[in-house]
Amino acid sequence: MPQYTPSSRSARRVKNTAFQAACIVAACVAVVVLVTLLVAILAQGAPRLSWEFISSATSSNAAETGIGPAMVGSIMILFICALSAIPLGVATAILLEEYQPKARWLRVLHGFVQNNITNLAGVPSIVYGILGFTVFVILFNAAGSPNDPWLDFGQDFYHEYPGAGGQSFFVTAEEDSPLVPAELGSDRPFYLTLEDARLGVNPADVVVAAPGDLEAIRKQVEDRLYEINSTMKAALREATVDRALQIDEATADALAGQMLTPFKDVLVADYDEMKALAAASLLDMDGLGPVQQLAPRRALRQQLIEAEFSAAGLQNTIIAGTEPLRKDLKHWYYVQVPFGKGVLAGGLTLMLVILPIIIVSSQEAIRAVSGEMRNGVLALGGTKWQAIEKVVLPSAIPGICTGTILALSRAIGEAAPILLIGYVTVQSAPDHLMGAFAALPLQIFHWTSEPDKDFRDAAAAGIIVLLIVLFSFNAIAVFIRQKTQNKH
Amino acid sequence: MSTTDLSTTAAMSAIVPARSAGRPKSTVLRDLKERFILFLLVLCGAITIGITLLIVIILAQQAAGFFSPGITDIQGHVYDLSLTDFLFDLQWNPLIGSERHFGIWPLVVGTFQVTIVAMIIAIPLGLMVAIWLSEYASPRVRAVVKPLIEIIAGIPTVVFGFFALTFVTPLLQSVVHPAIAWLNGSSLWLSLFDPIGFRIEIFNVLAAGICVGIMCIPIVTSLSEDALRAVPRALREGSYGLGASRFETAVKVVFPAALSGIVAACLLSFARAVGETMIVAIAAGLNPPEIHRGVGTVFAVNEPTQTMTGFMVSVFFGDMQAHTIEYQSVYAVGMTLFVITLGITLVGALIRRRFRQQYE
Repeated sequence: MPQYTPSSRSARRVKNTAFQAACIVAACVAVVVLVTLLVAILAQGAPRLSWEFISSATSSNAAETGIGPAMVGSIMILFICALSAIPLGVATAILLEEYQPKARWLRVLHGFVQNNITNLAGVPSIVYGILGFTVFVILFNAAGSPNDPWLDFGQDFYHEYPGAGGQSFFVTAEEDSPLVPAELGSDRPFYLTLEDARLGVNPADVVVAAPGDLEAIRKQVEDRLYEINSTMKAALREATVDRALQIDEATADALAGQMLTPFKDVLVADYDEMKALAAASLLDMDGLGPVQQLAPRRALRQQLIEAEFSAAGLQNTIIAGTEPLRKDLKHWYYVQVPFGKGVLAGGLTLMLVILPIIIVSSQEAIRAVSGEMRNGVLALGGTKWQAIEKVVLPSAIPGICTGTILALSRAIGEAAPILLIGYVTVQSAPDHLMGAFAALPLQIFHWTSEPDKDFRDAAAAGIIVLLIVLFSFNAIAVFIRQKTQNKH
Repeated sequence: MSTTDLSTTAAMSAIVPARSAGRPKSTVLRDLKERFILFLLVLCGAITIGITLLIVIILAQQAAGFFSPGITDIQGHVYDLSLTDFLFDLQWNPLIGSERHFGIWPLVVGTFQVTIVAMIIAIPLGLMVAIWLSEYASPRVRAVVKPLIEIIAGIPTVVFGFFALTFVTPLLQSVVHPAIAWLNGSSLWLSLFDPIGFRIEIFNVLAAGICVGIMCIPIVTSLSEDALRAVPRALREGSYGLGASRFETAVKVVFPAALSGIVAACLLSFARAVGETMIVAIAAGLNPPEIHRGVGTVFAVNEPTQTMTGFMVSVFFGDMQAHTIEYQSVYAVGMTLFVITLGITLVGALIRRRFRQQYE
């Protein structure tokens, strides 16, 4: 026994105060770290944040890159994840909480399911990634492969004929129909777009012409345009001051002339028309940096090609003997087995990750419903399911919602499970369930791994968006919790 | 209970009370519906078991492929790996180079380097916050601090990874490097050991470990706090009645009473740290410690490391081809990771069950 002398009492008091102070410091450290993290990320990412950043596609140019497709991808996988995880999770929770079996071996089984869920909650999310990849993406390599699926439906097949003028023409086809080279005098309907071909409207006015002469003309035209392209590059370089193009109407006209004059006599198209076209689009490029010039320059080149080809009579012409390529159009309901690296596989994999969380939180919500209400239904002659459906679930729903929203907010932030399933360079949002997708956390991971500081800034901006989404999810969950707590 | 029914629906009839004789006839349909719903619920429960089975089967089967004779790498070299190579080779170099090694230990050591740094951060901090919240803090303070701590739990790990790489590492460098430079001037330091050349590298154990630790704080805190608050008031009052201070009550009475829950909380956060992926993939680097060169590499927290999860990510982002040794190694590493985390989880559950004190 310690001796309680007055001095030891003060020592005990000091000890108590010191410990309390240390605990407060610990709590402060945690809070300070949180604030530092948020401030550091905000400071780095905020300048980069704009509507353009949120809506535009990813790019290899750090200044232009955005999170558009990643946002849509994240929302889509989250949606699939919620649709699959909520029914499965709530049903399992009901089974575990409401149907306590009496038979001994069933009780053992029941306990096993319960313990199993605890174990599932402890499985690292990357292991779920491997599981999701093996089951959903490649289906154990058992039937077909993602590129050559065992089962698929919901797509239309087309053959694509490259036209002499650089366009493409489509005809409808079957999956295995042979590739027929274009024939002279063929009256098959050719379409300019896949959509037209699918609906069978607006067939293009296409001539199948004999090779030979046409080929020669085509070659000449292409060579010429290649040269025009290089004079264009030189001209643009001249007009670029301090890495930005500086151009007014007069210089645009002069540059267009400079580009096209050497070819004045050989051009098939009308020289003045071509020059006006070039001058107009050069003027549009005023103030653009060298990298930003690429896209409009390509567009201008395409316009010149089209003008030249249509003047040469090559527009809407397919040279006889041209081999078509296979092309397919997948509808939004396109399904394949195995699923391949797509939205569905990604969403289901996330479902695996959050399923244990949803089950445990739903169980807690159901357990909180008082037994008296349940017994009331049974006493009135209601069945077990009626008690669950009419009494237990309605009172448990706020709790289930809170748990589910928190679980879903975990799902949005997860990168590890979908590393194997998502892409980081997808340029557009997926348009069907098996479509390749990007996701916000993956995009952030990819940008963080880039040594370029501009990409790190983009990652910080992406994190800000992700955190805003997460915090609003959490706010909704807290709101629901408080609202129902007040009611009771 | 009708327990004589041995048909295929025996499972259900054991759960659902059989229809008593007195009920009106119209309940037949209702009973059918009841049974159908129970069938659906049992199906959902079976899916959760199925998920576990699939994890085990897939990892085991694919990991077996890793050890099957005649497995080739991406360039077509044939390997004959045995479990002995995997468990006793001290080098891990499965992806590049002419001489490849497939010993798991470097990755396991790398994982524990990060995890132990994380636990050094998370357990003391998390426990102190938990004790403070449950024993000292007023309800109003608690209502503010607890949600703040829980916000940390909601932050995605990829964000912590970013923070580790772009903030924590530069911070460590800017603190440690001048300190080393200053100490280099003092002769006492030089006589202890030669610190010249000690640098915190861009990818290092320390920053990754610190961030994993921060991520684990809310897990330790919230589970330990639950355990502490579950200790009945009577114990505390008895302690106060005997003249103990708050500190003595918290540390000598409440803490031991809640110990099983606290240990389980620490083990759970430990398992989370072992399985943590994105932070280490971003901030820890790609080089597992070269433990065959000596024990010193184990303690080189300023240098890059690679964890099991980090290795899996690096293969995912590389060129993966089915049935090659690179691809199969992911499953072998995944199996090891799964066994380790499952073991920790089971031990945690066991401790909670065996040593739980019931106060009724």
